Amino acid sequence: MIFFKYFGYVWLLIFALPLFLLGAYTLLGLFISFESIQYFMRPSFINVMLHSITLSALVALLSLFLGLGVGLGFYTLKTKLFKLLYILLLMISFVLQPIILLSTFQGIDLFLHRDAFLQSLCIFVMHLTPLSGLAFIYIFSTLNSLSLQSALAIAPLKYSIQYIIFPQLKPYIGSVFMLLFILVFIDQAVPSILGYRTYTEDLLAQMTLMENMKHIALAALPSYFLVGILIFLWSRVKKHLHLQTYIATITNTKLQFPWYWLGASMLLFGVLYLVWIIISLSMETFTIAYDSYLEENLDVIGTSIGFSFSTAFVTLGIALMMQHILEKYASRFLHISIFIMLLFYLFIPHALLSLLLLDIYQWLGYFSVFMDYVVFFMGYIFILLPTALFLLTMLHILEKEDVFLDFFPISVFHKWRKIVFPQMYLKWLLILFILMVFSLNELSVSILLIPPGFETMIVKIYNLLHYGDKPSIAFLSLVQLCFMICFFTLIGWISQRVSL
Amino acid sequence: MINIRYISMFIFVLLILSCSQNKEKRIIIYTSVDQVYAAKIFKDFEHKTGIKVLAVYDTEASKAIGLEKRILAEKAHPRADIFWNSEPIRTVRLAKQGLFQAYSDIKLPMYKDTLYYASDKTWFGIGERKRVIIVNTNLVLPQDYPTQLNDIWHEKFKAKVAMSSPYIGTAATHFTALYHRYGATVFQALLATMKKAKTKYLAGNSVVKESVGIGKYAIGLVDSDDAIAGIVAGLPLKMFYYDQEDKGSFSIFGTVAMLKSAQNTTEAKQFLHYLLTQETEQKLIDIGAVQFSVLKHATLSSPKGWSINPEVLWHDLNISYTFMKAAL
Repeated sequence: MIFFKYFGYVWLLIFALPLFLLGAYTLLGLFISFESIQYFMRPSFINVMLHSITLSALVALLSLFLGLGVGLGFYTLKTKLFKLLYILLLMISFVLQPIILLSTFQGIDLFLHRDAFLQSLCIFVMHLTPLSGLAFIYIFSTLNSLSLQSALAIAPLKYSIQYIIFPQLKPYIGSVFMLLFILVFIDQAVPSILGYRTYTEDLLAQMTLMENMKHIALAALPSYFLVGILIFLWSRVKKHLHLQTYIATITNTKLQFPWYWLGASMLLFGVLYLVWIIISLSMETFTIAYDSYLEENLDVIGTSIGFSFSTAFVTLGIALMMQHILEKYASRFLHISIFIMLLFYLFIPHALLSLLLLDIYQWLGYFSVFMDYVVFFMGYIFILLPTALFLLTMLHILEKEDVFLDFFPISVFHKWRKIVFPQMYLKWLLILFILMVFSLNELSVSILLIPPGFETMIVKIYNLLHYGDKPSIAFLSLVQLCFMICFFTLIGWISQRVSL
Repeated sequence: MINIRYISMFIFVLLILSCSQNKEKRIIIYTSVDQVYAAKIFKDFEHKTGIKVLAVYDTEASKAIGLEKRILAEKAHPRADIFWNSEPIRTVRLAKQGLFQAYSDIKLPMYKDTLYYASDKTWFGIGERKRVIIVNTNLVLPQDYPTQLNDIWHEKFKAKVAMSSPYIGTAATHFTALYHRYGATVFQALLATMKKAKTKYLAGNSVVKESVGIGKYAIGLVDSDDAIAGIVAGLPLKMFYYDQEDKGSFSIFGTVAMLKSAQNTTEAKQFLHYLLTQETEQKLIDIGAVQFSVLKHATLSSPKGWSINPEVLWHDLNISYTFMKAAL
């Protein structure tokens, strides 16, 4: 399929464009005012950098550990219904925005009077453990189930973890940790609400002083440094990886762990948590007239959900094509380049990326309402694409496909339609779901690129938070939660035909 | 062949969409005024003139890098017709870059003071708020209620005071004004006192109001509209206009400007004509967006307050930031 090949390459170029532009601006900025670099060497900046690294590392570590437990819990459940319910409940904290989780938890006295660091830690762990858990559920499905189960049947728990589970998980842990670390590192909303100063918040404050892109682009300097460190660490870890272990037993894994209490207790906790969240949010909405609220907010709900679905869908499609091109045609050099670009995208503050896109829009020189929407759509794709590629790469979904594809002498289009899609669609739907959540919760693009007259739920929620209109916030959060639960149930219903 | 057909159809639809012209009269407004308030004004304007308002709202969380940066990025080809800002200093900063055009159809003598408008008529003030102290009535005894701004950094309130980050929004304007009024030495001493008092800097005024309301902090420094919204919402708060025996509380007014090369100039002028009236300003006061008037004929009495001409103040923004970065 020549079309797919070239389309994939075109996207690789589009993907690289803002980074080239950023690099050029940074160099120009350094050339014009080299003394700006001193800002990043000040003790106060190093201090907030350490704040962010500490918080991100601890959240990643805790979420990783808890996610491992959540992943194990899933495989202790026996019936498909319980497994579906388990994943559904798991997703609640991930679907709700961290600021909504925060306002819900602030009603609890024990939480309210804790230190800002501890509160931020709790909220982030709550929000990201589901993602880590979901990753581990997938990862377990790629492990050698036979050796695991036979060993688990005879060895004590401690030895099972030390000698059987951990060695098999080792190659994946770095990827999950890195993703969790970056997601916390670039998020400034919750810590800044709580008064815990972070790197991103400090950088944004510094950006307010700068009046042109050459100076604003200097804000990306720490990203170069951090990406450099991560690439170095990754290259060290990579030596110890056994890539063959990724190629898997795939969809029909019948993995089962014997600790039934784990899954059962987590399921119970999940049910109680869902009930508590729904009650907390509903209590806030008692004073409102649902029909008038729905009528008032129908537009924003419809457009936001529709928009997040379309952006997630298109992003997934592009990510699959890019991944396919990378696996089939690209050189090792291109692989490494894409990986580095991907890390950059994950580390750059979204506000900076949005400003770069606005700059490219100015260069294009063709302005219309339609183009406003195109740029807005592209903004979301640029934000979501690294995550989509990261998830696809982490799970090595396409590597598995290629094993099959190579055996069939038919066109790529037919292979995808007849072989790949039926096997992979459930996993793609789950990635689509994750991307939708990220899309719904993206704030910077929503403000800096939103077309005039268009409204998103995230901007509305933030504005209502400012006004203190808790009933409306709770109502919108409930709607978002219910929609995502319905979407997830639909995935579950579809999955009735395949084994989990 | 099928693919080529679908792709051609897709491109055709895109072309049709991009070429279609909307004949409806409309105006594009970028605003950092709270959506709950601005939307009411836009609705009223639409009702009165039949001109559709396409708004882009800011949020308090993004005040550090919101609409000001968007307008700057769109400098060569402005998409907005009007910029309606909740404070003056960033509007002036944009005006100094030559981004706004003059609006002559206005009677300047209607303003209380010359600081409320640009002499070249590129921006105008609308509605005023004051910086106020809020206390949680469950945590602070009446005899300890602060009356001066400096009271809140007293030893007894150590680690109990919260304010919005002084790098963003109205807190940035307030602190730049303090620097301008008192000079570098006093300003640095104030920053040192704040640090010693372990003041917490949160993401915005509403967050401060909420945190003081739920009892996480005892005292907060916010804008009067945030304080009133908190009191109306039933939070145990009491609001104080500080320094009433001296110069009073710092006042912040909203600003509005028409973009140069605005695509809908006629409609933009109509909007300014609608907004810059006593009637609309009163509407803003009634809905709680602002508390005081910048116009002469206002009937509402105002507590003592002070402000500095933003045309002068904006020069100090970067300098005050440098001091704050070093001290806090």
